[in-house]
Amino acid sequence: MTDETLIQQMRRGNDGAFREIYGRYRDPLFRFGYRLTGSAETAEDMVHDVFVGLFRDRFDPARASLRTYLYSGVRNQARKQFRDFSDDDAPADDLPDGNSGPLDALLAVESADQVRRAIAELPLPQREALILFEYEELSLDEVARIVDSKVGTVKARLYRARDGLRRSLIGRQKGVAK
Amino acid sequence: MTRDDELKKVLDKWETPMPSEKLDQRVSEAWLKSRPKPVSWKLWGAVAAGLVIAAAQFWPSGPKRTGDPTRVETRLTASGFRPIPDGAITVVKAGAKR
Repeated sequence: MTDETLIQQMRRGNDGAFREIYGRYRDPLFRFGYRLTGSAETAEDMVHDVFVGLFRDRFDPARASLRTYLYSGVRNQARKQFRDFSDDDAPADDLPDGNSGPLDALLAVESADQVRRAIAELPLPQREALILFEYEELSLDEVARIVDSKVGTVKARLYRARDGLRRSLIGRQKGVAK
Repeated sequence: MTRDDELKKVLDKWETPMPSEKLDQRVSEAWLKSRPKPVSWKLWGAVAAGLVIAAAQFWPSGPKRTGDPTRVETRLTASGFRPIPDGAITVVKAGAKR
């Protein structure tokens, strides 16, 4: 069943339609919010608020698809978060510190932590584009609609994000190897 | 622009946690609060309202009182009244003999 059909049913108070939509988008939206902010708690708040907006009928199917609307909602909240707490721009550290596991696990966490930190250092527009394109595997058109930019702009941001990420990861790897 | 498989392998090392059950509860509560009532509910609501109005119309009540309850009405009866013939009025002073 399409999102549009489910939204129509949800607007008539259908519980099953709500559960279906929530089930479809809960995890992707949470992942996106978590990777943008680095905080599970903040990501959950953002997902909650986006769904509350949907229940209050703020979604207009004539303007955007449901997916674009929901991702845009999370993205806008993340931007507000970074504007409101501009002094605390670095994402919170929700990952384990890696001091208590066996060597393999410790190495795995180290790698994940390197990736997380390298992504967190990217400017927010590059980070958004990278997460939506590489992690969420959305098309360039969809990413452009979500971040309200042109496809060319998104391509440029992706290029810079990948470049910055490679440099950062290689630099970190060299730092670890020393 | 294509996806960079080499980079993707590195990126996939950063996994995300799962959202908590608390989120599900919060969103479900928000849904229940703001959920539009299904059409069947509205229909039953309209039927119930109609029944209440009909009951109020036909409910037996005491004798109907008409008119303004604050108004006091005085009635005079004209039975036994005999009109005085024209010119038959005589003014008699007090104490004078008729």
